[in-house]
Amino acid sequence: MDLSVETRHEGGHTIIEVGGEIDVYTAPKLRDKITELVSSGEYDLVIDMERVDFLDSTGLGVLVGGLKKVRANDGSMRLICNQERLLKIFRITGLAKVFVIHESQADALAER
Amino acid sequence: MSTETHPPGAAAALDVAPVVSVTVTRDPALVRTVRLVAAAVTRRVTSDEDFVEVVRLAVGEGCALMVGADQSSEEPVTVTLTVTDRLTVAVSSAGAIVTENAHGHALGDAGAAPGDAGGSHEVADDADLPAPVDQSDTMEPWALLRGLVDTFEADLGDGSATLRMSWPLR
Repeated sequence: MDLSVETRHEGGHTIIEVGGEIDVYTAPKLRDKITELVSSGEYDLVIDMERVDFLDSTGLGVLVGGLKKVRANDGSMRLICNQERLLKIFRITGLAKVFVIHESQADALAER
Repeated sequence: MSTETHPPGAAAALDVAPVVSVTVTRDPALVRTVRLVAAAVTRRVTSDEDFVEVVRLAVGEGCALMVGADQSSEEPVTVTLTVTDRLTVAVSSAGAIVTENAHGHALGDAGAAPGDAGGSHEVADDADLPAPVDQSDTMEPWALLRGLVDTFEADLGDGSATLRMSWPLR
């Protein structure tokens, strides 16, 4: 698959670092990782998309689904994204109003 | 996968619009290949990389909607790009296509006007988010595509579907 998904923990958060293209083919890999983390009791997620090259509606759907899963457990899922071409996708679909999107890991970890 | 290309020089001499057509099986792994072809074709007619990205994303969306609908189908998906004073893309296949989202919002429902980068689709408030679905994390499947294109038509006949989208070429 053309998608890398790596997890690490910092400051009480679970950071999912995603790299490559999130599309109809690779999105299930991210979805499975989010599902796995929520199932193991990790509800404060930060999705780092700084190395994401592409995002389509399937990927957006996985993010929406993940947000619902963590919120059902009083958790949170925030995004790190500073690429205008990806931010545009969130705006077009109205999801920029739904997700908390940080410009950097430092910003994301500074906020609690 | 098969690809046909008409050389631009020959096309100009014959006064025929350049056409590139790609046919793929309904394999999600091949949608990226179609995106790459669409980006390459668009780069031949524009130096605007933002526009190339829009076309790449829109073609990928259209293709994914066909491929994702019924991956068990043996009906291939054909994507045809035509260059005139506009870039026109047709995505077609026999067989099923995703026509509505988990809320039952159909392709023809009112939403953001094509090309409206501001967007006005339904998924904006927490209350509007689709309920979690075990098998698929769905959202409005057409929201992104409709927000990217200048013109959009969907021809959903019996057992077949063709999506047509186009943009003016600067």
